Amino acid sequence: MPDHTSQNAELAKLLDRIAAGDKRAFASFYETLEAPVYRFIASKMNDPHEAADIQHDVFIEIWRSAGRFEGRSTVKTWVFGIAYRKTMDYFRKHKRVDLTDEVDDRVDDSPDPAACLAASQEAAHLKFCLDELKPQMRAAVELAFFEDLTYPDIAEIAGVPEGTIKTRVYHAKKLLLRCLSARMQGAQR
Amino acid sequence: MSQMIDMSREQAEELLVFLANDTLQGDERAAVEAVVEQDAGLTAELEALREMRHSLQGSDIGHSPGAFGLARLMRDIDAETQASVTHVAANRPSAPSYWKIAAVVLLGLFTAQSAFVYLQDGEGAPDLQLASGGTAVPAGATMLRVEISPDATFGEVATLFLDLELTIVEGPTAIGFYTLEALDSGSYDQALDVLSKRPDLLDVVE
Repeated sequence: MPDHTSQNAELAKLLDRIAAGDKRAFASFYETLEAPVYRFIASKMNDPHEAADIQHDVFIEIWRSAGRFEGRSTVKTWVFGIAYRKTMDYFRKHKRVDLTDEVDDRVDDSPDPAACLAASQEAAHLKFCLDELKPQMRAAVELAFFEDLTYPDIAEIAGVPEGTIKTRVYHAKKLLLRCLSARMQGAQR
Repeated sequence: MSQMIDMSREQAEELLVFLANDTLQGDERAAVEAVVEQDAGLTAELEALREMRHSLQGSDIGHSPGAFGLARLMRDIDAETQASVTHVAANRPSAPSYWKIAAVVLLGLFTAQSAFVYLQDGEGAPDLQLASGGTAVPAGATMLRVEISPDATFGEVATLFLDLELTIVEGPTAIGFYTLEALDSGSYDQALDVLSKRPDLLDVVE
């Protein structure tokens, strides 16, 4: 994927300049990544001001720690890793949510694929069902679908083994499809 | 030479999301596709997941902080930089540096606690007042108002404001105006002069 490769090289050059205190480079870096970073954070929040505050903290950390980027992952993965940690820290401190990987594995009542397909086209149903997921599951699904990232990249961002991401996404998919199917069948009654 | 991976239904299902976002490669992709082709349930799930991805990518989560967020970052970075410079040069006081730090601190408090309401007087000159109804803040010689041209890029405008050390303190309003603050009246005069000469980026400067 040459586009991704060249974008990564450009971002890595900007990071070098940011590490040397170049504010113009920081502005360019921000311009490139602020919208996707904000989307990743805001999709899990109900409050846009809190999302903006977390996004601010992410970019302040980028400014302070640009010199520590070692190129072992892509720049985007490194940035989303910071955004992931800040977002999960927020949930840990301010929300009573379960951040374990335990899943309520009730009997799978085989969601109706046609109902899932129809419900997937409805933004309101999709948002409702995403809101039902644990933050770390939701983050994995959104990184896969918003940012089209690979599972090794998502594992790097979340700081967990690849197998954990596969399992999270597997359970998230099951819960989402079950929820969408139920929503659609409820709407048809 | 490619070798086919023997994959179970459950293993394929774990990777279905990554087939839907088109990031699986090589043998792993081929193995998942082979399982999905033989399974009508997984084929239907894959279609639903692709539709879900499409819906998510088209969903609106509101406006990101954009230029306002960058201005806030620059303010904090400037404050941090100035604080460290001041610390190092503690025995060499410099009036302009102290002014800058004071301006940054005051501006932070000001923007955090206040909202602005424009009051137009009979002559049309803008003045500023705290929304709380407190003491009116004269427009003075540090505030100016601009409307950004729809053809201007974010980067061009951000660079221009950074060069002039302007801080966005409000905006955009419903009609697209931003309120900017210069560090002092000298910077204000320079900013007004430079901005007035950039009709390519700014439709209105006042």
